[in-house]
Amino acid sequence: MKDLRLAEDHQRVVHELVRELEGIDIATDETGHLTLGEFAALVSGSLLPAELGRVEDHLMICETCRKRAKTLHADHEARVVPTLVRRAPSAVNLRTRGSEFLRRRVLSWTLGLLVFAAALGAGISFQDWFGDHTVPITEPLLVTDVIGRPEIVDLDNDPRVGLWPGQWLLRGDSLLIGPGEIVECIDGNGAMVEIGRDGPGRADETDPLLARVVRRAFKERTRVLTDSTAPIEGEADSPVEILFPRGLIHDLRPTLRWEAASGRWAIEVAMVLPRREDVLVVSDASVEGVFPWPGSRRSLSPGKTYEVKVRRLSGGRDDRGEVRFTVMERPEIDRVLRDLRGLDRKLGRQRSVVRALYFRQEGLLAAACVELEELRGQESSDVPVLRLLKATARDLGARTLERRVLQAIESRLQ
Amino acid sequence: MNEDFRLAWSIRRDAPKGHKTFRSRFSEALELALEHAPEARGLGLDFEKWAYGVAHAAAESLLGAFPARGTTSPMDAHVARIIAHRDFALAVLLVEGMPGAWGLFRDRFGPYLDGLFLRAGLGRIQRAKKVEELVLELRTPAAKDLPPPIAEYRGTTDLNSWLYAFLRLRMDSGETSSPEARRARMNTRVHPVVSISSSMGEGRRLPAEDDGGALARVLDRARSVWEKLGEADRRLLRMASMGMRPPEILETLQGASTSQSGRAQGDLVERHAQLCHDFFKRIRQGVAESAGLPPDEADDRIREVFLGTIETRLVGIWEPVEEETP
Repeated sequence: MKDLRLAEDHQRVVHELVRELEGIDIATDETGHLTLGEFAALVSGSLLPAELGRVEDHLMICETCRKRAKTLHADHEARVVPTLVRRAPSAVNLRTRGSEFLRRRVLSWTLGLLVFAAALGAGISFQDWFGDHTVPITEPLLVTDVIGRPEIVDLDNDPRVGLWPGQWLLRGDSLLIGPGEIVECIDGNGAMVEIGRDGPGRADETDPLLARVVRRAFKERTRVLTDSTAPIEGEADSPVEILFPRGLIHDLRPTLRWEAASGRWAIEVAMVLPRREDVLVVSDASVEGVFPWPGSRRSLSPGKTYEVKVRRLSGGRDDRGEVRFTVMERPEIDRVLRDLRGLDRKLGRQRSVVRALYFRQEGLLAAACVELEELRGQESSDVPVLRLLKATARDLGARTLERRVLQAIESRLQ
Repeated sequence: MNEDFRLAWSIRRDAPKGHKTFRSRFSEALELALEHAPEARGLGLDFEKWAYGVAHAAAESLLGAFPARGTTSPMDAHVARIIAHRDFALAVLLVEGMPGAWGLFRDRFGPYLDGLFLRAGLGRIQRAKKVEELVLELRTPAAKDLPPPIAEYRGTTDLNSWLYAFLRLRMDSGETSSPEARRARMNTRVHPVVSISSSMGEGRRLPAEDDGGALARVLDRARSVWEKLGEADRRLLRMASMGMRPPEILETLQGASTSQSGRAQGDLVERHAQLCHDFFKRIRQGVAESAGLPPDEADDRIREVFLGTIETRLVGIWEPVEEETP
């Protein structure tokens, strides 16, 4: 058999040509759909190269699967989780359904009545049922998620301020928690703590990695606060600021992210790789952009330093700039990926302030910035995330980003 | 590869020889993986059941991965991935109906599921109830002769991701478009997506011309090569281009016959790879001659033009597309 080492790219080209020559219509040529396992592996990134090729080829011709993959991925990123677990009618037999009915309806109504009677007997007030509860904090806790709009009350009980992921709860603080409101935190032992109206309850076991991240973040919180209000020194170092990759990275196939200081101009971004033919050029008129690492490109090499060149063409001017980045050594990359898997298992795969703190502590500042930038867009994040982003951008030397974040902090605090 | 296809088909048919070959080839890795799954061993997972489960999962995984644009991964890669996910040992126990297995499942995945439902805004009691409902559903077959839904998990990813996809994909359109889901999606950070070939637009058809006319030359050349191919080869390329798997192609070629031997599968894969190789080589030669380019540069140009188009089409799946402002 002939040497087919280069076959992957060639075959993709051949298939694309064949579709073109045959006029195969993507909307009508469905040939079965992807399985649940394939979707799951696709979103979690564990497909083997050949499988990924087949799945991607299927996605190109199957509108249904493309929509499902897109929704699944978007929901995964947007932290949408199913609010209802529906069971197919045939999934449970009549006997199970009967016992389920008894358990759900009769028992719950009986229990509900008993509890109600007991509550009346005990003289529980209306306020206790429907009003806010004050929960005292007895140990430092890092807030990771907030459901509802609980408030934090300082020692003087005034003023009340909101609560957001990334914020620290300190000994002596009190929370005002209403019905259905929950604050999810991590304590110094790396255990998840869920604070509801009944007070804090440990929801999980301790975790050494989480404990390490939280304790170190607690020590650094004063510096983060100082850096988050510090003025920005110097001008933007480049007309188009490369946000990722920059500094130290652990990603062998990084997604290029950049942002221009102002205006909409023709922008050219080039990642110069060691071999001439590996120059990656992206041209667009957008101020802000994202360019995923093309599937056809080889991965970067661990332990090597690369440079990214940027160029803005506007009004006869030709501004240029460059940033450098270094890929971690292979054992370090493996360790980081292992740690991230551990964090994902503990916290779920959605973006979180803990992942950002971890990246920051490992010196992966650009990755931390990307994580925090994504968190910013979420409803539940606010000033604490911005403060951390400002401090991280400052450490990274990303002055355009730092300036933009500082403006956002100031506008929030006004 | 031919051998691996034969082995996979033999395992799918439950031929003793296939299982024996599989065990002798992967016994060391299988034993090691089982040793590192003490909970599963504690519940009584023996080597036979473990090896049987991995063999079937690996065979299905291999047979499902037609090399639409590359060589298929050998059986070793599929086995390595399955046993790397320790959750598969638990899945074997669950499918076997081993006593205590669902308790272990609750211990291992209860906190993750609880976290998912917590993010959905459910209270503590509701969450516990939902977890129990999910466990009941995963272990209850939809019909008498069918396996339970958990049997669908085949170790191609970790069980956490599988459970997420299981929960998410079964939501019907009513649930998907719930206000909560819409709100969360609207809050996703939005980036404009650009790529080298963003000017090519969203349509599937390739542009007729590009700056140097190289694309037109490639298309012309491809058309002439295509016309010279035999009908059988054209059909194979056409079907593979549509994303069909080897069994489906074989069925179509053999007139819906179900006799699919490993050898036929392997031959098909090799023939396909050979065709792609020759097809590309002939196009490259033509392009290089007509444009006066060295073959390597013609190669780069062809790949750049086409792979850019492919990237553009797929990139929208992985990055949110910018919404129009009202």
